[in-house]
Amino acid sequence: MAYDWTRLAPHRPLKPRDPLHVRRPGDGGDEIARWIAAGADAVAIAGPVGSGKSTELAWAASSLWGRFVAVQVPLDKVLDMRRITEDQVFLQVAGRIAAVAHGALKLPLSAALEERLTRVRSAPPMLAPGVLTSPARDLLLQTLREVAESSHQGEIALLVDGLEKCAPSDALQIARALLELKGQARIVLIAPFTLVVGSGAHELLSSVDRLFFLHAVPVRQDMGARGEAGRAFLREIVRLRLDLSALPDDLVPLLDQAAVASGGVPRSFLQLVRAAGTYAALGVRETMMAEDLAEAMNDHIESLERLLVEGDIEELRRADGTTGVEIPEERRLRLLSHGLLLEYKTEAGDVVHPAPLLERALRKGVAP
Amino acid sequence: MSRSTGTLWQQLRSGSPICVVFYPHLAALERIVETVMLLAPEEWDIDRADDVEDAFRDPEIPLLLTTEDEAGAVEVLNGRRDQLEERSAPVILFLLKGGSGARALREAEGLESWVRGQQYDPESAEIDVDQERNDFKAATGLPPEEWLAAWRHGRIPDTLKNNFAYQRALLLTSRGDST
Repeated sequence: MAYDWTRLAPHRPLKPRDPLHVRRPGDGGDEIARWIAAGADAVAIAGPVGSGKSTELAWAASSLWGRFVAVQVPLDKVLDMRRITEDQVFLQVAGRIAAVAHGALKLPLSAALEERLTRVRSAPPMLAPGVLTSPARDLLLQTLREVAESSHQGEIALLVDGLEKCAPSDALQIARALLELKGQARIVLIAPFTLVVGSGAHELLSSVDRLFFLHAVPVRQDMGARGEAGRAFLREIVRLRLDLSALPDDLVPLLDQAAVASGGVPRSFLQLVRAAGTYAALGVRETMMAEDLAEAMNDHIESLERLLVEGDIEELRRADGTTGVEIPEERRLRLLSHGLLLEYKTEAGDVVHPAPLLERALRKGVAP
Repeated sequence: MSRSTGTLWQQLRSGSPICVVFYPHLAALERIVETVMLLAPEEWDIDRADDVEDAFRDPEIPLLLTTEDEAGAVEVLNGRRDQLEERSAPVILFLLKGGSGARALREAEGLESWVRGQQYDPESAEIDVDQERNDFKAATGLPPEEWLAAWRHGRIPDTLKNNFAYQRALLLTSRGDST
């Protein structure tokens, strides 16, 4: 049968309670929800691009629902993250809480609050300065308190996505502002690497109770049972997204090969499989073959090699199998955030390995 | 089809909301735009724009985006990429190879991860026409011209698989070398 590979949609994070969600082996949104339920006021989530941060944030929201009014705030879907201000964020958060109150909770809000929220919706302060008479933060506090008090859960958890798309200084300012709401709501936010790794990490890390680092999923053959669990996790994502009752036997080894090539980064894995499937169509084949996956891997190799700058190869070679802390900070941040260097949780502690598809560059020493 | 041209064919059909095409200089840009049009699915009604804001309109219309401020376009697309999520047809962003936009893309880790493996660089698109024709014949049983004639006379069923073969036959017969 011919598969619709576009259904893999690597760029699209899942929504809360999404039936396509697959539980990550070892860690994920459930763990974040457990921390919050156990009393953590604030949790930051970080990880390389494509590791599933937004998906796990949505899953955490699903898991928290019932005990908390869990409100997901995807700032990047509604605001221009290059020109973001605290007031805009506060108003968006207030608006989302009100939307959840109206929608999922069917809670009536006071006429005074409704009137203010309506006024803001019809003329946001960014467009018409002065329309809002009370500061945006006050409106947010009013909304938070009113909804918390009238909901049966009694407490609100805000799950904020999108800060990694801001300039680092803006992201820190917004994170600071959101974390000031601790005590009014539990806060879970996805933080850019620059705020949680290295010398610039102190402020945010000292303001949150826990940092949840979304590692690459172990997929390597030499990772034993953990590697098999990681590959099975990725295979299951494909099975669900293609809506198959079971994966055909001939597809499994190719998916495992793609999993290993991806280094355990779900988006990279799905991109490789989708591209391989499309190459199969180009070759007028109904299902993919090893040569199709090889083509997809070559495209990824070219993209990855474009990201390398002078000195990266030597540092990546040196860091392989270590904790990676010896790499100078700026370079380490760039390598980690791009997923050129991947961090894995092991029984012996965290270790880093270069992205598997950089193998050619590392072997040949390809200079950028 | 060369590996690089195959990349373009693949990325135009992958379902990705955005992909990148590199060009070496302005004089080559129009030729590369033509290649993209040639390889695009036949049913596409492609639009072209030089304003990045157009990427956030009409999500069902494929868009060729050629802007003067390429770095600015990358910055906007990176910051607002989640607003592209629901696009059913891609934005095809043209960037000068080694230019400010290409450099900005390297820094825009989120957008770059979206277009990873979805970047076409025609400079390496060397096509081995004979090999490609042989591959086509091996897959379909006919040389591309004969297959195309049979398709046009309705002797080949209109299946998904044959539609892909049709695109490939078109490319092999209309332009041996797409660059």
